[in-house]
Amino acid sequence: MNRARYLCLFVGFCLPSLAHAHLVSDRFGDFYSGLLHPLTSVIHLVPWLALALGNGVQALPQARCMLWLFPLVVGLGVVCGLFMPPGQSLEFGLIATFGVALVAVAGRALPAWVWVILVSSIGVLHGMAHAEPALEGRALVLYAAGVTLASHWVMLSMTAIIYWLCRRWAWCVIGVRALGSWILAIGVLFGGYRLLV
Amino acid sequence: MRLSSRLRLFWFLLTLISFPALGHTDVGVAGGLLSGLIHPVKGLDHLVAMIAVGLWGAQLRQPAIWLLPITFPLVMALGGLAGLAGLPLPGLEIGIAVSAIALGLAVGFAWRAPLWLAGLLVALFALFHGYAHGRELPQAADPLAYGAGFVVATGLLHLCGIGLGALAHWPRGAQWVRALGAGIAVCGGYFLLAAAGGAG
Repeated sequence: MNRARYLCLFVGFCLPSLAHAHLVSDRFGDFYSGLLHPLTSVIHLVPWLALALGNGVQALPQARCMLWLFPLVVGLGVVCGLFMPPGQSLEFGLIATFGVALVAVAGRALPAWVWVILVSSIGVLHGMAHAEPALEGRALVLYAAGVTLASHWVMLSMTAIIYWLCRRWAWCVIGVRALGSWILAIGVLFGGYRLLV
Repeated sequence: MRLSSRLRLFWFLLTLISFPALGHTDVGVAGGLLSGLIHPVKGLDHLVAMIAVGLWGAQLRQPAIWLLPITFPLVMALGGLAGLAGLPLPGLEIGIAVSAIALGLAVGFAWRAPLWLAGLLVALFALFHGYAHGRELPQAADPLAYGAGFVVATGLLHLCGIGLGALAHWPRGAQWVRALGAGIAVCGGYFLLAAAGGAG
């Protein structure tokens, strides 16, 4: 190729236009929106990690049960949230869910019924909080499915990793406790900031 | 293309007087997280005290090796709350300096304190460090990300101390660890003098 062709090629690279191969704004856009919303929001992701840490130290039947229960109650919460007026109390509820890190700090399994109640209440709260972004004109089913899948993916992957590691190396339980203490500390500071400042 | 030496000199001088582009300003979640992560590392008084906690924990071994680094961030958060609430805490800088001295001396003398006493001391010092962080929290770009950043940085500094403290398993390494502790105590002495000078 001569120099003029190289130049044309270079100019062509400098002027790209979007390919629009994945039309997020069409069809499944609301699904992707629901999928990404909890994963890109620290206030949702951090308590979910705390929940997964706690789930990793539970007995196997409870941990398994939580893998389907949590996404279910999150999805339910999204639907419930549409009929609830948005309020500041929901944000305080979300901050309170950082407290689940206490289970990880303790590094002990809870009685099954306590764990189910805890997981259900946290799931509903987070689901309701996900319904807050304006859903008018959106496909609710797709959005709720996205949020539900994100919750399932986070719980499944994190619980599996923690469960597997903790059963093989004893020091991993110490790591879970340390991570739990970090999340609890973050929650205390953030909660304090929201309440006091 | 060959540039003349004058043109090269001109270009070189231009690079010396350039201004930062500020393409990435410290705003939003990323900015808050970054400033929180950097904060304990930038402040030498925080840095040495947090490393000393890890070192001491490693010297005391199980269960202090994990109990002290878990106690510190939790109580630090409570101290942060006190700072946010604006509760008075006299002698803040002195308390932080004393924490470096006391923890440095504990490592330097390889003090085998009872677990409850070690936990109590670390918790007391964590209050001062947390209070200082709490006072600075309202200026953060994103409070949640800032809090997450500095709690994680604190934990990683403890981990760094534990890693260095692992040297104590070897006789020569144990001496190095004790020397590190003495160095931290000396740093603490300097901070104390600086705080006393500032107060005076």
